[in-house]
Amino acid sequence: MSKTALGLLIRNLRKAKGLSLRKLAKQVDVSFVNIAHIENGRVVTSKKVLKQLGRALNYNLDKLLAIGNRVDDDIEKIIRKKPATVPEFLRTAKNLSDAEWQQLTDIVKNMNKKK
Amino acid sequence: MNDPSHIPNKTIEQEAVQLVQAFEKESGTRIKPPIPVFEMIEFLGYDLDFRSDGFYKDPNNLGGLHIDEKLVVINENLTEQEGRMHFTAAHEIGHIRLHVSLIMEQKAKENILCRKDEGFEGIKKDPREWQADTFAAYLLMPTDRVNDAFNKVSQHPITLKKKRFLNLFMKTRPARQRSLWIAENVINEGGFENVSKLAMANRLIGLGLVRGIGYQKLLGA
Repeated sequence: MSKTALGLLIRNLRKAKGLSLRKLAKQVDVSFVNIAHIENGRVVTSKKVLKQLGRALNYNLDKLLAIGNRVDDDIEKIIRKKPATVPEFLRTAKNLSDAEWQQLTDIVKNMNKKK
Repeated sequence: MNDPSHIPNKTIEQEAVQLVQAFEKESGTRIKPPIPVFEMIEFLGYDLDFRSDGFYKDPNNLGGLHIDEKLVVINENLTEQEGRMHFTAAHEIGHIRLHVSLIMEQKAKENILCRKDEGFEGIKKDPREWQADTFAAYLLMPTDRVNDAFNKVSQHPITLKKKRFLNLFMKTRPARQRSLWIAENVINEGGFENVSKLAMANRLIGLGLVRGIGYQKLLGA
């Protein structure tokens, strides 16, 4: 998604929570001008700020990072740890439905329990 | 307000007061200085943008009202001048309250772009720009709040007399400098953190609380 999509999402979430630019800026610890820039798609938002925005707006962090064209550090670590296996697995699974992904997740959770 | 070339100051002040009252009702809190003008822009259903490209490359182009997009743009170069930035935001609110309905009635596809030389500081004195500046002054510095703060600084209006020949040999500050010093004190007493000393000095002059001196302009403007 584009920067504008991220901006629109942030603006809509902020307004739904009844927060002014300034109030959100205070929670995220950036200037309110910066928040306006993010909402208007004028800046590339850092991972750190995206995470803070996700927390302040009660929005799924991974989803927000994805909309901002970013991936969380722990995911990057997992891929780097198994640089051949993980990408291959993801490519193989790319056409799975949401329900199938859930099934797969449950299987992995069970595997983890047995360890 | 059908004739935009003349809106009495009293009407402009009423518009500012009514906006504050509506905002107080919506937010459920009593508003006191610093008046939250950016929150008010959003309360009026407009979004905000800060730009330094195109028209806004020129620092003399202070802001704009994009009516179709319901967007207020502030020149990003102003963000380091707290007073001027807030005055510009309040000025754009002035356009929203005083001029947008008329523009909509005329079905004009018009954006209002605001240049420094058309308002209080300018020589062109476009009536709309002048009215928006007047509105901004009333909104950011409500009469009763300014009076209250001024009373803490002085019990009586202060007359700043021009330097007489004899004073040339004494260490007295020029009237302009003294008016700014009074303004600073009123700002501090009243919590007008988002108002410049110059804007407050002019408000005090307008209210007759500081006398013997005309409206002041930004030096070098």
